[in-house]
Amino acid sequence: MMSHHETGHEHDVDARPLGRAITDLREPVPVRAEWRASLLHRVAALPIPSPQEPVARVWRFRPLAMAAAGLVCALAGAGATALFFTVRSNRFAATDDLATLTSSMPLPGERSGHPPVRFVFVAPYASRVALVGDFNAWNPSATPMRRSPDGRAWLIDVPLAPGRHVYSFVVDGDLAADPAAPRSGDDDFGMPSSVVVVGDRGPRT
Amino acid sequence: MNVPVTLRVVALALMCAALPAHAQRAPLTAADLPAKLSPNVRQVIARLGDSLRAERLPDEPLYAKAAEGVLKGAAETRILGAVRALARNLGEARDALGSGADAADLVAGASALHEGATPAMLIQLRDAHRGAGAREPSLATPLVALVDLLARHVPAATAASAIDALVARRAPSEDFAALRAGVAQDIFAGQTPEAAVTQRMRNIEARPRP
Repeated sequence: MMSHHETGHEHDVDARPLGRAITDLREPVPVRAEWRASLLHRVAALPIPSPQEPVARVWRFRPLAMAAAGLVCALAGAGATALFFTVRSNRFAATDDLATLTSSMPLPGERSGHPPVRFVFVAPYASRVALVGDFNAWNPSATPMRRSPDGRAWLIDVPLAPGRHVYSFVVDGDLAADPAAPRSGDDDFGMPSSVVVVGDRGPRT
Repeated sequence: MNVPVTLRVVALALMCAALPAHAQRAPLTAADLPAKLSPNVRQVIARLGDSLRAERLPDEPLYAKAAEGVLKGAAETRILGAVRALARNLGEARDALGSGADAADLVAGASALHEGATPAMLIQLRDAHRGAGAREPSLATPLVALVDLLARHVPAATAASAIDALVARRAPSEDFAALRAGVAQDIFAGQTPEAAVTQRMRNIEARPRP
């Protein structure tokens, strides 16, 4: 069955009577002169309405209201900022683990006033690396390192007080000195250690 | 892993609360000596620590040294020997560096003495440091560089002379790091330790003073 809109020919046929109807409707409606005179007379007899209240508002200084409005604006701004950072954090966490997320936070050394020292050890095939030294009583479970995003190195930021610190890495249970750092020298136990000197503004060696 | 947002926020809050506690580590004391050590050895080390404290010397390095020995699987006699030697070297380092030396200087000085530097070398280094009006009040950086050279079998006189020269130049810490890194590289490439230091120092001294 053919639809009503499938041919343009029918539109041409219907357009003429429609145009005629529009023209007819635009013509003024003929009314009798008496009826028109009666209508105007009754409109003129209607009472004139009293003047309306002025449209313009009178602004008054209201300290409490203004303070409340300021507080609401501040809260709204803080909420929007918190929402923005929550969304950002979620996007970041979705692409990496929670441990990596902590790296974007202020480091503990920044809070304690001690500059953080970054320790890096390249060991792409290690399954576990920890940092040991005189700052953690040579405890291999105290300072585990985390794998870098590219998987090649292990790293950690540790806040260290100014001074000289001796350290080593524990790589899958074996001790290893830092090849990029000076040797501690006082190697009394047959396994070399490394040393870092921390100044007031960070590592110096 | 799909961790709910609330759980993440709670975990982060807990981590934030835990971090300052980690940062404010208390100094090591005799009570922190590893439990693997026998009570007798622990007692001897604790007494050594007491005597160092009485002389206003740092005792923490002794406990750290004992913990290092335990981790490295050393026998107790060896650990005790190392701790005693460190206590002795700390006293000698203070005699050489003066009563104004801080703990880092004393430990680095003790380490240098342990590696073959003489007290006279430490005194000379201290005097060079004072005379040059060095940028850093601490001697730890030059002493650590000296120890590194000694540990790489650079003759003590050559190593001490090179470090004195850098101190006299008021060299920044980067120069000390560059010297030891360069020397290590040259030794690895086959040069003798002494030749490596001599060559590197010649390069440094050819540059204008900082």
